[in-house]
Amino acid sequence: MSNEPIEAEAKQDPREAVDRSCRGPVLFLAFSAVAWLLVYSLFALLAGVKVHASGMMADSAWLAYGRIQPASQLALQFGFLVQLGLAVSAWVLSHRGKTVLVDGGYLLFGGLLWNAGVTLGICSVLNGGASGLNGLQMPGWVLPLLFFGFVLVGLSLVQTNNRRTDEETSPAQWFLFAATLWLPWVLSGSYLLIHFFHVKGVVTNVVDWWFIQNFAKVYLTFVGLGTLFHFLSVLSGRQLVGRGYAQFAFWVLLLFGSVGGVTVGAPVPAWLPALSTVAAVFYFFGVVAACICIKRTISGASVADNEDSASYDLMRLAALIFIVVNVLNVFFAFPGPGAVAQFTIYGSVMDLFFNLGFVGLTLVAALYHIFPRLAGVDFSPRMTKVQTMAIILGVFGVLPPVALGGLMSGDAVLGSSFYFASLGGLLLLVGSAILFLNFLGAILFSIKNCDCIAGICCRGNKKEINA
Amino acid sequence: MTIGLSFLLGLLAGSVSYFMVGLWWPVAVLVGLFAWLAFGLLDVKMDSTFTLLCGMFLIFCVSLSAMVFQANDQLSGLQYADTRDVDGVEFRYPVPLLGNARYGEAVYKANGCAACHTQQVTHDRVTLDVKALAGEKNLAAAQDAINRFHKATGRESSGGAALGLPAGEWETVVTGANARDALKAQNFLKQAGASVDVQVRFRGEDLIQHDILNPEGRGWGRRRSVASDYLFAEPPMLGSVRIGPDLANIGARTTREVLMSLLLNPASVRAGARMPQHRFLFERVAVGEQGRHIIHDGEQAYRPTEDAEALVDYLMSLKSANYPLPEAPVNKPFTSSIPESASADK
Amino acid sequence: MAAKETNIDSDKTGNGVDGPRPWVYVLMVVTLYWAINYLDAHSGGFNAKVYAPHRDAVEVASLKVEKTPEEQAFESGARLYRGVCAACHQPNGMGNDNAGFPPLVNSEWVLSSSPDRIIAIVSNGLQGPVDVAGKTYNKIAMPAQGVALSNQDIAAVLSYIRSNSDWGDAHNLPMVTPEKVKAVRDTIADRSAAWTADDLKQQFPESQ
Repeated sequence: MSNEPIEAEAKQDPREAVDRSCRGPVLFLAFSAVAWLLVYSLFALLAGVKVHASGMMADSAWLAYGRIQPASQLALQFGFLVQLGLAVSAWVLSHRGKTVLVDGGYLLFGGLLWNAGVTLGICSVLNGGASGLNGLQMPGWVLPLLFFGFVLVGLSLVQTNNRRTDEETSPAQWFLFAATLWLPWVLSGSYLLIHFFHVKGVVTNVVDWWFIQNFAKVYLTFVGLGTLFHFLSVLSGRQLVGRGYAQFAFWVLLLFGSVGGVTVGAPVPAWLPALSTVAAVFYFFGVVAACICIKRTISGASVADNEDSASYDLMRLAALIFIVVNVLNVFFAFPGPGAVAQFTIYGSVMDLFFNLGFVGLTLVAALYHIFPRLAGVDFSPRMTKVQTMAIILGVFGVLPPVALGGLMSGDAVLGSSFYFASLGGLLLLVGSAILFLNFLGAILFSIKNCDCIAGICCRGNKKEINA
Repeated sequence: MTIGLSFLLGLLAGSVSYFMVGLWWPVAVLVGLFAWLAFGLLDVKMDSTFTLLCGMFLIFCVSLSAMVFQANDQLSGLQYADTRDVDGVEFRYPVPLLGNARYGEAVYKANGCAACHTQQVTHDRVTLDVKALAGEKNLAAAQDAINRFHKATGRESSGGAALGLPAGEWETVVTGANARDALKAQNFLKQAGASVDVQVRFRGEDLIQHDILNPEGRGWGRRRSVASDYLFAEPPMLGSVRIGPDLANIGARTTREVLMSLLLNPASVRAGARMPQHRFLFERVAVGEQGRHIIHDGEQAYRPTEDAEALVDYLMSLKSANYPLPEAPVNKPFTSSIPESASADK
Repeated sequence: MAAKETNIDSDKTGNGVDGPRPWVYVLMVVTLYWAINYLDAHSGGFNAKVYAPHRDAVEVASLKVEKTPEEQAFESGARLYRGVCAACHQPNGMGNDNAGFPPLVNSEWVLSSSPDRIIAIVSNGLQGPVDVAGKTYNKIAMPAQGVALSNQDIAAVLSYIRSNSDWGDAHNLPMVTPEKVKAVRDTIADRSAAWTADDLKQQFPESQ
């Protein structure tokens, strides 16, 4: 009796085994990520409303603009991007390594801890416990939760990566592995420096800028690029061309993306902004190399399979946004243009463009590909089309005009660009709500069919049924 | 990878660590050598997790040292500075937050004012103007010096400035120069035996407005903010976007009453203000109630809570970017002009 | 679906190392040369005290405000006046007739060409009736300040009251030097009692 399930499993496609091992943790992380995206768009819309109608909801401290806006940032970055990145990394690392996900339970529990930490952190921010620093708003006591959550996650992912069966690794694995380790180092380093070692004065801000730079230019970029490297080659049916470019990009992006991020007018000695400018220029070398690798891989390919064409197109759009954002970044890294753009909403909008337009789109497109394989149920195609259109419109169609408006009006009175931003926020809310419902509906549907999700919790029953 | 190529990379690594990271030069040489070996002879094997980990850790340490630790070495030991206020009174700067202002800083932090307001004053550039005074005897030498200066710095011909130089009177001979050029002009003129007077003006949208010398100024400070301004801020809430005005010097620009009204209903102070109302910082009282600090907004009456009072205390204590420091000089007018009164605008 | 995904089995590139050509590395070295020059121009020598857009510490030092000795004496005199003298003689120098504090504004004692008399008054104090600007003040004596104030301080505060143009056009006399203060105090060193107006006129005769 005990032999039969093993033989039955061995006859199946090994990819099914990998998928089955990933199912629980990856779906859980993806689900929480989608939920956080909804939370983010809700907060962002609220924040936008507060700027238009200043008298609304003015009696509640929890809804103050200065509390909702950081909370929305946290929900986007730590809630949505990190968790969806982990989910996709887990899936890609196990498939690339042709191994089952090791210690998926750790991944799940780590994700739970992370969620708990982020939730507590955001509640604390809404309650008035923000730290006042732009990138590290959560209070210091949240760090142990986040750190241990990520340690568990790391245990699972590192072991999975170690169990890989091929001698040669692919760029996707390098990038995702590096990202998985980089985030806890940088996050805990920053929190320790600020809250434990109590760096003084503007050094706190330097640590903050260091964290923001590392989070966006290294961690998120690596997650996005790793995902792109894997899926673009898989979906287009081509091998990855330009391994050397990817290797070059890896080291250059890591070395020069980890330094910098100081605006030209900041109250720090002149060498910090100068260093940031130089690092941005060298960083661009890595960006170009990565894009050459991507371009060579997918040039001339087309995706016939309708199912995956949505993912493929979204990822190509994301790659385009990546290069556009980085070209703009290297231009505005110089003191002349930088002085024009600093303190305008151009900066915040560009960050949003990068977060949602590149990383978010990549990960959501990956989710479109992964979800049916894990849950056994596809997303509803019509809902998918609507939500994709809404998200794309919200991100791609609206943010650039807002950024431009921010640049032109300078940091004085903001004109109509704020209305555009709210329109984009509304579209994003619609898109993310639809995505959430889509996800939820698909999961419930699959549970109803008692096909796969039930398999996790009712394995005992299934054996009896087979026998 | 070929030896030559890896040598170039080693050169790059060594130079980066010396010039950008500021490592001690033998260490930089070692880093370069190591990189040359690693790339050339050992051929970085990306397939090995160990290689990845080592490389990542090395880069992590490099970035932490280059940016954070170096900044910490330089900026964590800052002390008070002695400076003077506009009346010429000496005092120690910055002034620590006294009394309720510390609690007000916590209120500022809790309510995320930094989401819309910055607390850093910036400037664009510094321009210097030079005046010269030449007697009858050295008039020709001075004119020659002016011509040589203009030629040496590649400016358009100075015919006017040199020919127009009167004997025995101060006359502006160079305008809008940067610091290096101004120093050059001073040297040329001093060699010719003329007396020199220099005016320093900082230009930028954040600075004090001046019809001719800084027309686009918004009056947010007299000079740019530097690290010493934030000695007692926990933490310095510099902000990153200006949806509202900069607050580094707000205590010198406004009054408590204006700030209270702004917090309660910004539109009543500035029409079309984007700032949301912060009614949660106030408690409503009966309209007829008398007492200190009651604010009337339309038909309602409000009394500020403790938080509001503390926040306003904190904001009124923000008087930074006003006083000169060794690393942050302020405008310096011509001393050869006779000032109107002792406290002329500096 | 299965057929397409077999591509992930092999990620090996077919034709050797497919990476950046050597000229990319040369370009990076050229960019390094640019970076070094850029850092030389904009980083202020990695000095903690040099902020953008200054080039180095020498340049920052050259922009400092240099105060003349007159300006320095004036400013520290203003501070001393506020702390020591303004309590009685008022910040605006008008004194208080009811309380008996004579004004300093347009006072012939202050504005006399030689500062000897007021140096003596500040050192030892003043008692008895004194005529200032046409009025007589006799209600209260002025305490001696010579113990608390050094020669520098006395020189500074006297320079201030004699050159504060806010008080009137006549107040534009040259500064009082600490050497002068020392010289005068040496001549009256044996006196400890407060002066009277007559004593002063006797000790320091001069045309007004």
